[in-house]
Amino acid sequence: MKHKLVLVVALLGSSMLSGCTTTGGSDSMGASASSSTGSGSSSSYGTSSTSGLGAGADFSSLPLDTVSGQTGSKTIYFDFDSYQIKPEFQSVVAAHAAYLASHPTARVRLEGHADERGSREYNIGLGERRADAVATLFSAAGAADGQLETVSYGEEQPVAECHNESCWSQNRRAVIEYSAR
Amino acid sequence: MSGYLKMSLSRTMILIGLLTLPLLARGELRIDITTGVDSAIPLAVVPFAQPWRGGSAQTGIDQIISDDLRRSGWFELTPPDSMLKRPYRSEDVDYRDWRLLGVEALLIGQTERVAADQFDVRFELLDAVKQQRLAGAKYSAVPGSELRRLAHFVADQVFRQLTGIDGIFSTRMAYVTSVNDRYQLQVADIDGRNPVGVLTSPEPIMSPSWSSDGQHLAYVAFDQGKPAIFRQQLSTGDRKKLTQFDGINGAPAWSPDGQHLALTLSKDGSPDIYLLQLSSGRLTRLTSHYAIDTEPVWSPDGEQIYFTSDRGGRPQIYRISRHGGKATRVTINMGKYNADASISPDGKFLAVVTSNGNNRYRIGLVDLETSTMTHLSEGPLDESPGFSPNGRLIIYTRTRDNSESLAVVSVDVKVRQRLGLQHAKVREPAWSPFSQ
Repeated sequence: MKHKLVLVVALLGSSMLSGCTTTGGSDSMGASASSSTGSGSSSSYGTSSTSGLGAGADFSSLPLDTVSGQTGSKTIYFDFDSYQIKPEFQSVVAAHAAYLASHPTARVRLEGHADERGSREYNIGLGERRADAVATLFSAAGAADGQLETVSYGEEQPVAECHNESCWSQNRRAVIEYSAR
Repeated sequence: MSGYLKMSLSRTMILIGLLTLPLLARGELRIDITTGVDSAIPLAVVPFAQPWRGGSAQTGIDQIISDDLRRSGWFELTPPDSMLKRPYRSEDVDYRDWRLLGVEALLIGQTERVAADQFDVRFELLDAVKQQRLAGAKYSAVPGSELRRLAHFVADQVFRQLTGIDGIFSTRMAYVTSVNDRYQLQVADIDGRNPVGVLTSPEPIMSPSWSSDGQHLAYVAFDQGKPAIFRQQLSTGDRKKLTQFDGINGAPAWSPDGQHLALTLSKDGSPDIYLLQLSSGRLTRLTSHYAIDTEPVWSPDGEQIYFTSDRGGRPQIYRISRHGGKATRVTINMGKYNADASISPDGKFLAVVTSNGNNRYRIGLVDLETSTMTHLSEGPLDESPGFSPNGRLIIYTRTRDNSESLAVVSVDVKVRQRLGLQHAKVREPAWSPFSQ
């Protein structure tokens, strides 16, 4: 849940940024702006920036949600004990894959999660399969291995905490986190 | 079955040492005993004499011993109020008094202050029927801070004398708590007292495993967003990162000889079991399969590794030689889902998380000789079973109503206990070996 909040903050931040810099197209982010949007992130990826970089920073400034409506969605949900990507999420995965393929400096961290049922370490295995399933599609679409990192949290970080399918279905997920765009 | 037959059967089981003991807690952990054995042994723990306070006291070392023994479910303790006399030396005991109360065994003793914070403690365990001493000892110059530990040690001796089974009152447990995304690995006495946080992190902590000498824990901790396996010395808190490969670093399990860790890595593709030699850091791959292989556990002789694999479609328990070779499925016709095995100290039983579907996950006991399973808990979301070092009890996590708590059940399902931490989720209990 913490990660989710951070994501929202980061997205809002980048949307505002894009509003300020529309004329610049795919130019770089200003150094001061990136440090302010980064400050809300709990991960160590992109949280700090060096103030001396200026316009030379090699980040793409194009906000994700202007690349494609589909890349605004970052969570893919799975059926119980399954790591098959369901048809309704294929377009989301494809949009991120296309973005990665066309932005070689972009990096994603794919986080796999499971619901609470069963043993914790087996669920770590399940979570990894889900993250890997997404990574495999990204690779097939042209993303380089170096752009992808996967990690499984198993059942350790639920976003919904109750003990029935209404929560379990939200927790069986893979989350696409951009560490660099 | 008649009541009489049932009684004798139960007593017979006790005599042949089929059963056993308990857990406990106060302070932060709260314990409820939900059931006990059918035929408890009538026992009187006479409040110990405390000459420096004048007369005997209701609280103190004898209280800790009483609490330990009562919670075990094995004894029916005589209330101190009904005791006609409170002897503290065997020569002062009139056995007729105690036979009148139906007492079969009697614990008496004395705590004497010999310096500002030093105590001499003496106890005698008496058989009220045979009118003889079963055990006794005197401990000199015990620091006040060690009295609680000594009480558990005496309780262990009483338990062993009266049941023939090693007591576990001096053992400890490690477990993980989480509150508001703050994770903590704690070690506490098995009665829940003296909890100490040995690791605190904003990221998940998982799968604590004791070294066979009880001096170290291995565990998984996420570090900079990625899982790593650590070894930590309990006395000093020193820790060393053992593995942090890409992918899964999970499920560490200490070999009985303390020389290796079995663990799960996915660095070479899918999750497989590896053995890590601690002295050299040498890594040996034990399984190689596209399925999820995880949750290794060593047989007590160190020759076999039991593990969870879904190579057959669903998670089941398999066994493989620690030297490699072919894996054999162990849980057959025991339900659709079996995972996270813990092995009994004699190597004859596994405790597992088991399910037949229907969203009900229970603790199952697998008899390896007969290949049969009995259920030890009702679910619906039980996990992380672990044997007590005497093999008689299993501790596990139960989740219900937005709380996670620890529960203990005897392998014969006659004693059940529950432990709860207020305001925290507590899970992944690991029972320490006997202290050495």
